[in-house]
Amino acid sequence: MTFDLSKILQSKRTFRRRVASLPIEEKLAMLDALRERTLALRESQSGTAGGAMREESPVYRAKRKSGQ
Amino acid sequence: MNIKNTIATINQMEADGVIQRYAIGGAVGATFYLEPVATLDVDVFVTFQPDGGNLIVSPQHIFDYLKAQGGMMDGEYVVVDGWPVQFLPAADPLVLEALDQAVERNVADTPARVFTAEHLAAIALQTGRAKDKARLLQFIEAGVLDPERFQGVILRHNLTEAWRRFEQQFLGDNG
Repeated sequence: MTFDLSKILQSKRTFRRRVASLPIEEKLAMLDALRERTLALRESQSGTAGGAMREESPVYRAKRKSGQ
Repeated sequence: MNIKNTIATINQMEADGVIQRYAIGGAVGATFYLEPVATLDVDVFVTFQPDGGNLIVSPQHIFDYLKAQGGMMDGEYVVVDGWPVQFLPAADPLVLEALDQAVERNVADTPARVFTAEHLAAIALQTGRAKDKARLLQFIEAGVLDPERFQGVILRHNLTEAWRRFEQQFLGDNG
């Protein structure tokens, strides 16, 4: 264990690279687990079971017809 | 909840002609190149068939198809195998190009069509929310972008000024 910030940051970078290089099946399984955890956390914070939780939707500059 | 099954269902939709061509973008698309980041939904870009002269038609046939297979509607999302999927029309030139040049990856014998890293990074630059900028930084730090291809996308889609601002703000002297 170290309190040297540069070493901590380097170790974080190394960890992220290692995770990024995992097989895609493993990374997608991680996404499943992360989503479940995020939903559980949000639910416990809001205190409203079954409440709608939404990620902010990006604006992709898609053309839309008026009224849509 | 299994995103691999979600992808398999989307492949089946394409095979059944419900959608013409699809590609995965957003955080799930980025996961094919970077470390996974928590996300709540799957962005699937599709070309909608023109109908009566309109470029964009109602995605009702997508909803009907998935409903028949036990899918659930939830606002603008369709829940497929536990994941909310948002079908987004590829109408912007950058997204159209991204869809056209999307690459096929294998997920344990399930093919998945995904935007290239360069297009995901350019779309993040164009979209420009805080988390998009963070994703763009991830792409740069991970060294997964082909500089020449990325520059080509930036130039073709008039993102030079946005890129200059991003470089100034986040890359400093390294930019």
